[in-house]
Parts: sequence; structure tokens; C-alpha cells
Amino acid sequence: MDLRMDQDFRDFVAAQTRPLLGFAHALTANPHDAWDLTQETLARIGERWGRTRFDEPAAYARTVMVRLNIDRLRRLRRELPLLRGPSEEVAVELVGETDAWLVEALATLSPRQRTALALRYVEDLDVRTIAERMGCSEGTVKSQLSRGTERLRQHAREHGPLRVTTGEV
Amino acid sequence: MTEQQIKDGFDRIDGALAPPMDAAERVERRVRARRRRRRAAVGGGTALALAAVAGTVVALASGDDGSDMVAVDQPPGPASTLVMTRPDGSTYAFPEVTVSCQPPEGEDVTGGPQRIWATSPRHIEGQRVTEPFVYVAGIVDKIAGGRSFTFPNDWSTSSDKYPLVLFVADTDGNEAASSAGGESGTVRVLEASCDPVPVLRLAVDVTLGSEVGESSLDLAGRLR
Repeated sequence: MDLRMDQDFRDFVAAQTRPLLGFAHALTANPHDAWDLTQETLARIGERWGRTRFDEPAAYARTVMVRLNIDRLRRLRRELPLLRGPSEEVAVELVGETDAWLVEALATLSPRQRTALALRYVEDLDVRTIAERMGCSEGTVKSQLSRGTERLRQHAREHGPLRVTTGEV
Repeated sequence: MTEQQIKDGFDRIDGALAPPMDAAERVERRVRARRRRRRAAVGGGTALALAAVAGTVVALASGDDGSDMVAVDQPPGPASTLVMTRPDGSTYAFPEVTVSCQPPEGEDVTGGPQRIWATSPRHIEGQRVTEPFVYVAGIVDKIAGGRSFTFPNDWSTSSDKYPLVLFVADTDGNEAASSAGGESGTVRVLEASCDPVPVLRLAVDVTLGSEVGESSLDLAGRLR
């Protein structure tokens, strides 16, 4: 298959890159990692486009992305250069505001906690579907959501909108 | 802090980034790069397999006339009973596994700790894997000494390198690894050494998580 000739895949990339990038941003809390993860996800699907029948390619792409992120992709790719993509400069553009405290808080979470929260709050998925996407039990998802949410709230109390000032003069 | 406030924060993160204008071209380049690496890996794997089958290594010394060429018998190669089992119960055995302390061709590993690899031949036609292959890579100092590794593992070590990675690729495009999420099981490292010759003996009983959102794959057996 010559991807340059495959308009279906180009259409898929055109339609899905932005939403996948947003999801990846929530998964990674880092613009560079988000773009890298988005490209890697699309590249893996592109490799198989035309050879594999995807019933729901957009949902499939998110599952691939979740697995890659849980995998802590960059570390694995250092171990498996066969699968490593080329390094690139940050190519994405910041076009909206983010809550700095939330980005900071997400960076302190484990990849699995970030993944569970992103699936819950960005994708609006229920616990059962999150478990399917992450390849783990519902109990594990509940635990990750509970700990992750509590960590966010703790960070908000200490560094974010819920911070209490002492009123020193 | 309410659920809605957290949701609003995630909505802003979701919408904060715009991809580059040439996103499609960048993705295409990455797909092509992956394909090139796979083709390079096939050549390297085949060369390693041929060397293993030959059973000898020809060492060239520094003589100008070539008279110092000597043939050195290698110790017997590793015996592998590693078997991959798919969700439908079908299996694939990897009887031919090569152990080496030199990185497989196409793998750019320079510096860092001494590593050891166990790989089966890679057969790829075009972009398609025509026979499953297995890939094991370990950092010798971190896996030697009769250690066992239970998965999933957060590798809570001071190093950011995985001590041990297991990976299989199947003919349907599925790729599964020991750190892809959904992995479980145990690997016992019976022996790992590069001196005087590469030796890697393993007892494997793991489920490897799919990296491409497909089914997990079981890998079990011994390398001895």
C-alpha cells in the first residue's frame, strides 16, 4: 500500500489528528509527548491500513494510544529501536489556555492514573469501558480513578484554585 | 472541587493544542521510517540465524596474507522450548533462538550497560511478518544471578532502562510486549552472561500485552 495514494487514510488522519492530540495531551500532560504519541498511534494504524479491517478506527486508535501510553512508550522504544520513530521538534501549537495546576498535578500521576482520568473526563467512558481500553479489571480502574482524583484535589488545595491563604499582612 | 470543575479542566487541556499543518505528511514519514526499520531488521535477523546454523565463527587476525584466519568452534547453541499461544488456542514454537551480546543489526545501541539478546529469525515479506518472531533483551547486570521478574512491573529502579523486555510479533500484525499494559506472569533468569560466551537461560511463563490494541499473547517455555 502506498500511503500517499490512500485517500481514506489521509481523510482519517485529517479528521482524527486534532481530537487524538487533545486526548494525548490529557494522557501525557506534555505537548511534546502528546504529539509524539499522536503520531505514533496514527503511524501504527497507517501501517495496517488496507490490510486490516477496522470496524471503528477512531475507537481503535484510542485503544492503541492508551496501550502505547501505559507502555511508557518512550522508554520501550529506547529498548526496541526497531519500533522507534524519529525524534522531532515540538510541532504543535498552543491555541488555548490550560489550568497550570491541573497540568502540574497530572504530571505527578502514574501513567495508569492519567490514562484512567483521561478516559473518564475526556472520553466520558464508564468504568467497564475504561477497563476494556486499559486491559485491566474494573476494580483496578476504580482504584486508579479514586487515587488520581484525590491527587488532583490535593494538588488543587495546595497549589491551585482551592489553595487557602493565611492572610498575612 | 466538583466533578464538573475537573471535567472543565480536562476540556481545556483537550482543546489547548493544534497539530501542525503538515500533520499528514509527518505521519506518513513515520510510517515509512517504521517500514524501513522492519526491513532492516529482517536482514539482521536472517544473518544471525545463518550464523547460528553454520555453528562456527571465522575470526580474522591481523595477518596481511590472511594466513592467521582460524575457525573456532562455537559451543552448542541454545535450546528453546518457547511457545507462543494465541487466544484461539493456536500455538507457534520458537525452536531456533540465537543468543548474542552484540545488538541485532539495525539496532543502534552504543554505550551504556552490557546487554544480551535472544532473538528468533525474522521473516518479513514486504510489510508483512510471515512468521512470528520473539525478541528478548536484557541488561546483564540487572538480570544475572538467578533473578525472577514478575509482571506487571513498574521497574522501580534508579535506572530508566527496562532490565528485561520480551516482545513477540505475530503474522496478523499483532505485537505484544512485557510492558504494554495487560501483561502478567513470571520470567526466571537462570543464567545471563556475556563472558566468555553469550549465555542466556530463561524460564518463561508470561502473558504479553498487545501494543496495538489486540489480544494478549502467551509466551511460555524455556531457553537453556
